[in-house]
Amino acid sequence: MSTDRVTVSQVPFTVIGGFLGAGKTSLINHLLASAEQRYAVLVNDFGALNIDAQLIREHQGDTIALANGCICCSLAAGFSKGLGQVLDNLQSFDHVIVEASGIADPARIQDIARIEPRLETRGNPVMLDARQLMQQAQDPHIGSLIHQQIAAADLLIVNKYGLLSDTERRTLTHFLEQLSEAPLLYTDWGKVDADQLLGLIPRTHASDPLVAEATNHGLFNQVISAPEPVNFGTFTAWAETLSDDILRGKGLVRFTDKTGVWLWQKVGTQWRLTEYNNDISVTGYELLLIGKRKESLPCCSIE
Amino acid sequence: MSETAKIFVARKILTLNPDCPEATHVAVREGRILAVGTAEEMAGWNLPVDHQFADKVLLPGFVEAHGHAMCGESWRYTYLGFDDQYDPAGQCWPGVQNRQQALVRLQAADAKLTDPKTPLIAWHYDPIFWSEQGQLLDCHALDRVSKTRPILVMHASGHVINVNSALLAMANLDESLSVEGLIKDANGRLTGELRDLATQFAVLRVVGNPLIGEVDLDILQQYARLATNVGVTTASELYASLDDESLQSYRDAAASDAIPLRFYAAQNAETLSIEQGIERLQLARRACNEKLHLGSCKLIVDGSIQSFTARLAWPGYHNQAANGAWKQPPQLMAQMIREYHQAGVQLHIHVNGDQATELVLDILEDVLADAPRADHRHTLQHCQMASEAQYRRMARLGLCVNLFSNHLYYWGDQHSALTVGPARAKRMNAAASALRHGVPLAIHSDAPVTPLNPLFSAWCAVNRTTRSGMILGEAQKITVPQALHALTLGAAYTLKLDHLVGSIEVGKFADFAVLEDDPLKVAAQDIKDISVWGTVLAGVPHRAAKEQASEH
Ligand SMILES: [Zn+2]
Repeated sequence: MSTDRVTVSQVPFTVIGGFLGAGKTSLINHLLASAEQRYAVLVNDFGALNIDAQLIREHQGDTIALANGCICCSLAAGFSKGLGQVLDNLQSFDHVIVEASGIADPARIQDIARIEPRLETRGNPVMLDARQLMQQAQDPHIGSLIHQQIAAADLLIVNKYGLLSDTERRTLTHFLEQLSEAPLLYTDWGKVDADQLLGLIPRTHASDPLVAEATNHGLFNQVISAPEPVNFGTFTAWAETLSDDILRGKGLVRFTDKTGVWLWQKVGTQWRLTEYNNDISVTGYELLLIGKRKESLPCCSIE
Repeated sequence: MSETAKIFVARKILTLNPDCPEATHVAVREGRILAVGTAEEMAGWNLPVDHQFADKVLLPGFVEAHGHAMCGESWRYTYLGFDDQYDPAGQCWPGVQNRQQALVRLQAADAKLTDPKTPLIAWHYDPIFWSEQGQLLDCHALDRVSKTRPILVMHASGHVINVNSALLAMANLDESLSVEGLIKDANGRLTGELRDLATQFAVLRVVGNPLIGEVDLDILQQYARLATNVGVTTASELYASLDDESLQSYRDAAASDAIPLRFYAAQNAETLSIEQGIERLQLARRACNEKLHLGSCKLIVDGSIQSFTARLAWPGYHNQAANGAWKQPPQLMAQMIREYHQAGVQLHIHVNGDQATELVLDILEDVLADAPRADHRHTLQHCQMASEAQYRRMARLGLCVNLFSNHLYYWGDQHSALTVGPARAKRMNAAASALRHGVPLAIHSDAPVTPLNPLFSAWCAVNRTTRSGMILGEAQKITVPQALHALTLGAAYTLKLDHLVGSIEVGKFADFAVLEDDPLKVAAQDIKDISVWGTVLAGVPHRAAKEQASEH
């Protein structure tokens, strides 16, 4: 049987993750509008079947057939049934795409392709809402799900990026780098190149203690920033008095009594400063902190 | 219908009607109650007297306000549950308590299948209660039943499946795979146990998706048989798909005189967009008649406590398990509740953990402030962990609660030891709190999760006794009359059917449960053992199926 797994011709299988409002629907629409291949798109977020009217050839029940040979179907009648129908007609498609809901673990859906010999496992892109991500990550109801989605991603697509300030962009990047080694892709309006999205090689996902902490107990984040530089001694004293609950810290800082821009990184109780590119548009400091308890995060500027 | 006009005489009639709590005579005409009271009070009606219930006790027909028609389908498959259970024909299937018993039953079922390709499907396997934990139904054991026929065994929890080697091969599951939920032994060999979506999808695709919740006329008929056997005259499907085919099955079942049950179906809101869902409900409402009640909607917020998928507030699970899973993103749940509420739809909302309850209370508080609606009667379903403060909020927001008291017996010991710990287990399914705070109360079985049997559910709420005999929360016990109310009028109230069924009053449907004994006279610990003669639906008696002695 193991030999069967490689000899049959395979159709690639991609699971797109991401939370409600991240922009998955515009991503799918963008993909379908520029399709040169025949996609089968399974939408796991019920009722999210908002396909551009110009693309539609016919609409039958939960299935939409598109003029370019693609189909889109909601998993309304249950996941098993919808996916079963696609597998029964697999020869009609060049690529199967599942749009997973924000509460599903994309990796668990991807397991279907690991089992089915006619499917080929591809990496999972996960879409994030640039404006809401930091808030969502510490929401008591969905925070752990956001962390799991980030951890399961093989590509992180940060949508609505254009709406952020420079500082917000940098802290968001620092935040995601703490949680995942997946490449980051910044975009607006869900515009992502199909090859980039669908050609991903699956990464091996090492288990991360930070993600485990987020899953079991939740994590909180805080950005401390000011436009003015800070005295080096004051900064060191501040960094030393941070609570042990603060598990990670990362950010850029300028000092009143030291030249250049410095990258500050904290893991557990250890922290260090390294010289950074001086050209960057930082005038003061912008520091991201991730901690176990909201009360342990400093709320104001460095004094 | 005039031929059904008559007067039933009974040893006693418990009416749940405050003007006449107990009676001996009830007159029926055109399927409705014409009069209830004493022999003298019947004198004015020149009707034939029916003495067949002269030694029986009549109650309003029981109302199962949270069940699933799927329990009618489940008996197509082989029963492997730990407890004795009765099938629609009234036959008792003894509980399966070890591997030897399970294999004997599976071998008998295998011998009955003529086509060697037909899958053998079994349900309600519950190994957590087996004493020999080293001897379970792994694929090697199942291979002793058949090496060629696919065999699939569903666990009682609904989350785990066991299969034989033939089915593993047909589903392309082998040892070389490394996917979540494909359980292997210490030597890396497959055990046949499947725990996650992908592996279960692979085997269900081979055997054709049993028990996924779609109904046909036969399933509804079997459901009605199970109901009649336990005195239920109105039963719900609280997760209905109301597509054209299913809707037609409900209409056919309601139209059939051979199916003595009033059906209530709440639409499963997960499979449709909100817009489509509201449209479907408007269509479904037009199909309503005296035996078919449609128009409400079911939402599921979290999972179940015994499988650690319910969402718990601090301090979480007693055994430190990670918090459970939302069934929908909370933001989407808020949108669904708001839009269905604004469309005038009644909502039945599944919440098991207390964090899920809190989320829904927060959402409804906002929604009701923006869009107040008199008598919305939104009902929290299961709601097993609600705190005193949450009951106070439910009362303020005008919510009803339908508690899952059967859990106290079936999983009470596990809840106390593992899931929520002894302190919180004492107030699980807090029926006394609901009554104390004036929250309208119903009690349910969630059949087939636990067996459909209102007298057993009443026993659970009254005695709060676990399988091991421990009393779980003396303070939350309710009285027998309170429990009977919760299973008749209380249940009907949560379905907005309390003006039609649930008590014996003039003008209501002539639906009765016919019991061999008086639940107010037997000892409280014996109410579950009262025999049920059958039911009366719209004035017509229906005998419970009789158990025949047989070997399984
Ligand atoms: Zn249910």
